[in-house]
Amino acid sequence: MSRGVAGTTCRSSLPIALSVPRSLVSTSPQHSGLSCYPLPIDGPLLLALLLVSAAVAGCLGSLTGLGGGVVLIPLMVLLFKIDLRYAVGASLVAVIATSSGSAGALLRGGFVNIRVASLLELATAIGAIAGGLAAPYLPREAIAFLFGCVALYSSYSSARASRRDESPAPNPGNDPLGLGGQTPMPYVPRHVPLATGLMVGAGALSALVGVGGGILKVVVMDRLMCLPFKVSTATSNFMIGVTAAASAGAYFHRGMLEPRLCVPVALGALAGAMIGARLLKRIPTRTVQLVFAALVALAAVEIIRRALMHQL
Amino acid sequence: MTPDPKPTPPTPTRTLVLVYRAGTALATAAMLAGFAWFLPAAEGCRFFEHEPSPLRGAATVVRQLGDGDPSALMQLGVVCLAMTPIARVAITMGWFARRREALFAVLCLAVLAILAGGWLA
Repeated sequence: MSRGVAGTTCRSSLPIALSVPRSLVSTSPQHSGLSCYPLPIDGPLLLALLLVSAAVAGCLGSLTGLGGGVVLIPLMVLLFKIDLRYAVGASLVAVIATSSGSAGALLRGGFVNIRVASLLELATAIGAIAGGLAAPYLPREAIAFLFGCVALYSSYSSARASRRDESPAPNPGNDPLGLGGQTPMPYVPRHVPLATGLMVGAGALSALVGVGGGILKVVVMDRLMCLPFKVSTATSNFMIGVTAAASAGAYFHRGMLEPRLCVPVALGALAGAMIGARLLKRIPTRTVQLVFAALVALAAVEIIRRALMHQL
Repeated sequence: MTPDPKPTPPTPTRTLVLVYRAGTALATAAMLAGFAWFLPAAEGCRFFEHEPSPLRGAATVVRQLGDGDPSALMQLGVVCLAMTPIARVAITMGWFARRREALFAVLCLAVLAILAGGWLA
């Protein structure tokens, strides 16, 4: 019998009632239905599959711009039957890994606006803490429904992405906070108070569903604040690590950062994101985006369906 | 036709890049080492039979690490990873403070306080 965490054994002999109230793997009877594919695997093979799945998700997420979490969470929930809240915890760690891994390149690119990031991070951190504290008390179905909606929006956004290079019109207006920048063109953010308020929601959503923070941040910065698109995406990527780290604290103290799950997922996602960034220049990404957006949409619909049918 | 203006890196770029590199490298090394240590013992492990994870406090992680638990090393890597963006906020705060940009230094301080509250509370 092999040793697991905290003195327990991997193949536990403890009565479930004494050890834990419920398993990390969902055990609802509905999982034996036709739409469920329990994997007859365990041990190193399960770890390896998680690692490879996370790498594929990270690579595809990087290629399509959807991010790894929107792919990882359906994989963990639908394929590996992992409890949604633990999947969200692992996804948050993967988000921190990929954000930290790419932050150096983003900074060197010169498009990150550190002042805008510092202002908006306060709002997202407040939202993330609130979301992280609320997560354990929300029904799994509500979180799953929310995740499905965010994944559907991400899929829609990816499918229609035109990837324009710049904002149509830089705003030469007043800048009392000194938030404006010069790269790649002079700009001054608009609607700063409203954008800051919306970022509280983006932080909370990110903490609750493990994804979505990035895509919402880009929408707010690009469409509402009228920052150049490259500045929006670079600043958003720069910020999401802090947002995820804020909510990860709450998950850590609740015991929802399970290292045996988080580590293969984070390592895989990090490796996958690096591979995806290298493949980006060689692969016709538009086709990949469209096909993958459709797959994510299907997974989102399935998760919403299960949430509504209480099958999670 | 004029060429695109060359992006001007923000001043603390070099330090922040170093922090991200060091944090990610340290965390990845701990996670990889813990993972490699755990794998031989993982035979037959169905992994997610216990919850919540007992490794949910710094003291527990250190104690379990002392007891030779590979999961504690993996969790240490996860915590290191999470601390990397937090360290970035701290360095950015110092940079703003040195430039006497009080507003942004206070904003960073508030973010740090929230992050610390989330991890230490």
